[in-house]
Amino acid sequence: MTAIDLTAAKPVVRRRVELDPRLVMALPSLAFMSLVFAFPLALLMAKSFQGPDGLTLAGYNRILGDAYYRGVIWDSLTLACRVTLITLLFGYPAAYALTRAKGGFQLIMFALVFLPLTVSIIVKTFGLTIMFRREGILNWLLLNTGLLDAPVRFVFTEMSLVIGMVNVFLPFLILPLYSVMRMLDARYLDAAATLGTSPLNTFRRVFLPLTMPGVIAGSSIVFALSVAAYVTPGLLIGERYMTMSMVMAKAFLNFRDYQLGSAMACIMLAIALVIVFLSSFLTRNLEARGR
Amino acid sequence: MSPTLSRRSFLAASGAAAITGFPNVLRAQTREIFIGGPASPGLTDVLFPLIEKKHNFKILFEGTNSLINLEKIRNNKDRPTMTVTMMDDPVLVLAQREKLIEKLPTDVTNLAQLSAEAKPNEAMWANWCQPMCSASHNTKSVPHGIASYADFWDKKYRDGLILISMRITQAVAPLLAATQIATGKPLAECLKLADEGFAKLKELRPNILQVSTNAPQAQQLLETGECLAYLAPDSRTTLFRKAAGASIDQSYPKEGLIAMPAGVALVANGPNKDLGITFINELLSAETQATVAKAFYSKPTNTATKLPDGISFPEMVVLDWEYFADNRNRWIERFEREVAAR
Repeated sequence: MTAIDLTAAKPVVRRRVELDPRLVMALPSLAFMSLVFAFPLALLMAKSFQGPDGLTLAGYNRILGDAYYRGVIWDSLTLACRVTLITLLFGYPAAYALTRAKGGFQLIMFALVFLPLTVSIIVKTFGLTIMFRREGILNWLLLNTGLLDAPVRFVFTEMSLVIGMVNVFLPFLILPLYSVMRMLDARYLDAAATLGTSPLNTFRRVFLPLTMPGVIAGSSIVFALSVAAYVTPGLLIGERYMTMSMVMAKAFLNFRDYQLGSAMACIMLAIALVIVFLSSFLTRNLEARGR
Repeated sequence: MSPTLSRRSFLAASGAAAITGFPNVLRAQTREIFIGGPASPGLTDVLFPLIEKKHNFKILFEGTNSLINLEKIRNNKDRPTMTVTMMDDPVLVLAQREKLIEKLPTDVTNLAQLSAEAKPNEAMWANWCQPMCSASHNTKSVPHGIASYADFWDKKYRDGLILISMRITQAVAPLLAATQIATGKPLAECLKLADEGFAKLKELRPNILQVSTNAPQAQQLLETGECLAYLAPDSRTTLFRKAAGASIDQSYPKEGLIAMPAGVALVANGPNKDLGITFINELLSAETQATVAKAFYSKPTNTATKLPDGISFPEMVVLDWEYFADNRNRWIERFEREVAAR
């Protein structure tokens, strides 16, 4: 009789590499973004520190030590602040109306928000230039309603720039706000009303705080887009209002001064990162308070 | 036994031919060159069809501004795709320094008939025409035209001028106009004194509606009367639009007009060099230059050109574009800080 080797019959335990499905799903986009965004960005950052004699901060010194370039950064930031604030003033009620609208009316409102996104920025901006002319519709309207006696110059003014940018970026605020407002549990508002809170107080103490994550997200997007805007300021005001993007374009294309261009790009990136971190910090803070 | 060809072997043979030899045969038959140049009207609709028909080759053209054109040549320096480039002289100066263009060979026989100033740097490139540059005005708002550059400093032009950005070569016209007024020297001597003109140009600020890098937009605003004058597109645009019925005209100030440098060069080591040479030679021929004068409203550079009836050009100031190229970046900075800034 032969002995049976029982150990041989033991099932083989194979170690399986467990992959997080979330990671697997994110992998293609991560790879794509690494290739087309992170890698060029790293090159750009490296360029900003490159001088003829090795590593240097000269590019940053040239920008931050020059009142003109500091003025350009300041102008870009204040422009972005103005645009974000006005976009918020128009966007918040619009998002609320969109949430409350029903049926065909909501469809029309959605179309009004989405359709401008399908039109090229250049077309929209050129359209605005036509509207702002001395013989444009805006002057015509103001003259015919008696608000003006003579046509006023609107083209190439800061006002036209702000109006143009609000027009371009408004949908980017309405959409995140709408998604937050739509997810809001209506019972909170009902509860507030049942407890005798006035509509204004319900808005101020219940609705507004609960929709703040949307406000922060939308405002961050609009601010970041406004700070980096190039086409719209270029067409609506030109070189009389230099922005950081215009300086970058000049440095790369006209001067071939990669150090100056990439240092300005990195400063813009730093501003964008501050906005992202600040907005996520504020959102988390608000969520924590909500709990 | 006669050889038979099965369907399978026929397909295999066809496939092999397609992969290996046949496309090369096709490629060899295609006579074409890639030209990079300005987006000027008249090139693809008038000039190129004429040359294509006469010499039986195809021109692939990409119209953009000179600096972008230069950037493309730089990026493809190791394997150039462009055969000929048409750029402004200040940009061709940079291209020459970076060895991106090669000297025009003696095969371009029409070079012999070109005026001396149209063959810069011993014919590294050639000027195929000289567009006129001064200012362009709206004929409804300024019916009598502009007598002197000094007129633009008058209060009646308040918020009425569009200045082309110093990043564009034509911006040399307002800068030299300001220098002329500030120094009292003839326009031809003003380039090397241009730094003295900035203070005067700064005085123009109340009259400046916009400093523009976007020529089509500025042109549109001029034509609609939103601005009174535009300093300074060249005659290629102004007179082309005037001929199309726009209410604008070229200004002829008493101080003179500047000859813009429209250059043409061979890209170093570009493909189909023989076709490039044929193209440039034809472009510079007296016969084609007459068409150039008519289609581009620009002074021909071939001295043997017989101008079409009714076309004439004033004497123009020819600038030292090498000097301009050497100082341009500094002037851009000064212009942005002192003139364009709010």
